[in-house]
Amino acid sequence: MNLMTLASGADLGAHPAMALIIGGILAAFLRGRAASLFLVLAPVLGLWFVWTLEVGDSSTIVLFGQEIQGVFVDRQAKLFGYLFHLAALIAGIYSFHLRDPWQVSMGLLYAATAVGVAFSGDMLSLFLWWEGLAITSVFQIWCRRTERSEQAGFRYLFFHISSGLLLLAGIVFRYHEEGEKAFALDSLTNALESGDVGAVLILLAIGIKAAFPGLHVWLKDGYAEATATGPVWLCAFTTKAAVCMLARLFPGADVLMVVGVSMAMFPIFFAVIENDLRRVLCYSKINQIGFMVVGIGIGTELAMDGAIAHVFTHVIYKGLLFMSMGAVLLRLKEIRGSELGGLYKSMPWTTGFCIIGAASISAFPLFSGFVSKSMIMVEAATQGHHLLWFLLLFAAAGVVEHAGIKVPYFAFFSHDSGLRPKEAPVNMLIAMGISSFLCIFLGCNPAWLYELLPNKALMSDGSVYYPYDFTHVINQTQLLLFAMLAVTFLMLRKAYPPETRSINLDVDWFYRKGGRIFLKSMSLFWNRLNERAHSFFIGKVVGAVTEFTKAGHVRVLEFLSDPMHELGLLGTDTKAKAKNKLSKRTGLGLHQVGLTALFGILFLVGFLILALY
Amino acid sequence: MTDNKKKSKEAKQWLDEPRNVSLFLKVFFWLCGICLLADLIFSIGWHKHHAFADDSLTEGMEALPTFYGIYGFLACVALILVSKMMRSVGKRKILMREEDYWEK
Repeated sequence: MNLMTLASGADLGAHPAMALIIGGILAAFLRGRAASLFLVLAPVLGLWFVWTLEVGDSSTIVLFGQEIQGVFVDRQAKLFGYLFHLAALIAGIYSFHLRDPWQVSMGLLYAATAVGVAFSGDMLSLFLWWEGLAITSVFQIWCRRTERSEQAGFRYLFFHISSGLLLLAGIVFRYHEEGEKAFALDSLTNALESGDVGAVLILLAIGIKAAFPGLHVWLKDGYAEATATGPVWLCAFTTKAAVCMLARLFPGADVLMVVGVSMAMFPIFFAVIENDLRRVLCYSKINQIGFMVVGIGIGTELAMDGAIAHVFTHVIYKGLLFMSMGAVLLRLKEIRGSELGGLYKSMPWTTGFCIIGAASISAFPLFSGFVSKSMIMVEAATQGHHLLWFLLLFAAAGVVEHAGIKVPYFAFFSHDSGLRPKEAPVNMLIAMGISSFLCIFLGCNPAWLYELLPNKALMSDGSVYYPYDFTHVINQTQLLLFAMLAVTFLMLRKAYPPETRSINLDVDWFYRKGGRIFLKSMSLFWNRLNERAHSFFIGKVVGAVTEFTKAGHVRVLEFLSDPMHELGLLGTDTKAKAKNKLSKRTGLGLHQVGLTALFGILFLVGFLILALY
Repeated sequence: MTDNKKKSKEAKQWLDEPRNVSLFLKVFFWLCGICLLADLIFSIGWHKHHAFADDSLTEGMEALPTFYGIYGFLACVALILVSKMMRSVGKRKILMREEDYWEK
């Protein structure tokens, strides 16, 4: 097999992720600012390349005789391509001060794998990028280089490698049933709803990465232990690549509405009582992904557009919030709400940017969350999902509480902690500034975003969705203001739960406790078995063998000494003396040449007989 | 000590003044009031689009003036009170654990 048949036929010239991959590899070998430069150059170059791609472009390669569609360009892939490069650029500027080649190069390669997922043309290329996503991302956690982050990284990997294996299993199941057709990245909604095992496994694989309820703990566990810059990378790619695939493979799957609304609901309760502010943002992230999943579950064109628009705005404002918390962590090595407060005095810019992020995630009019979330809400109502709509409205009010008020309030205001850290480094401020600008720009000019969406945000009557009608603005403003009023009211009445040095149990209790019980029981069983085996084999058998090999031949010769003496082989000494002499010489390994030769011959004859029969 | 000295030397910020905090809150309360009033006037004088297309109980509720304000307020109060109970009820801890729980 020559190289051409091993890998051939790149129709596009280059893969959309190529700029990021090359940047990532070069950054691994360079040091200092030269490496950091690629954090900016590679995403800009990649962004330009995505812009030049035409809808319908594709690229196939033949790998080990199997044709793989490595790239397929459609409107959705292009939008995600823009988004992932933009996110990589912002995260790159934010991480510009880093001098850790692992973090820098793996960050770029991580972004590249996400771009790969967005553009993948079939299940096989998806699987390859999917695995890459897992491996490259974990370095944002491990690079904090603490024992906790190391362990959290392994837990994170456990989930993500499982996701890859489930995806592979799903593909294999489907291939077994449908042959080559199963490799196409077409909607699996019908297959899922008719109970196809392969489709269920693929949904579970995506579900792990999208943080479905019960499969979500890796997110709050891993991100909270990551480096100061880590979550800015992590929050942009893994879950969003999963949502991208969910939109491709399961549009309109009813089960996603139930899954999505529970994702939107349950984390807000945990976010209220969580002390680690980055973990609060993790819960809030699950809540926001819940809205996207609901949009995909509703499955109408506008709802799908809403979900994808929400991914776009969410990557920017959630990145912004993580950036502001990362700056605090970088300066203070502390991110617990109970230990912070009053930081606005020395970090005014970071405070301002954080508030813009908070307003965007809360979906205040004129901020980006407003123009995307509302599409999902509108579709939930017009499609007649009443209960769903009421629950989503509850979740929308809940966002104001934890992400809108709690994060900025406990970090930057609240009681004065007396801490006066320096303002964030310039590169971080620039990155936060760009994100803040985008939050407001997209909030005020949604048409720019809508134009990029797969269905261009067209409603059933053919007009483009318009979020700024008076009813919508007044309803949303009222909802948010009164949710804030409720928080203020409870704070003034001292009924608001204070930030305390504590953690809260989540479903991680089941698997971490389960894991420990498994480990203990295994250790008990296997270690005890090991001890028993040790005491028997090493203590007894080996002892006996050693004793035998050490003294066995002496005993044998002592036993043979009398007959040999009678045959006159042992000279003229008395029987007892000859025996004594023989055993002494055997113990010391000294023998007369003739005797040694005799025994040598005897052994050889013995072996010969054994070998023949 | 040094911290305290630093603090006393520091220029007082606008929010350090309790008077300003209450002014801020007052403006916020007014904002809530204005928003509610705008909704009332708009609902009665003009016509708000209803979220739901069909006629049902929930559709009627959503169309009521000030519904969003009341719902937002109650949702948030309920959210916070339930979360508080999830953490601990009285002195009994439900989900709350000490920080080094997983290191033990």
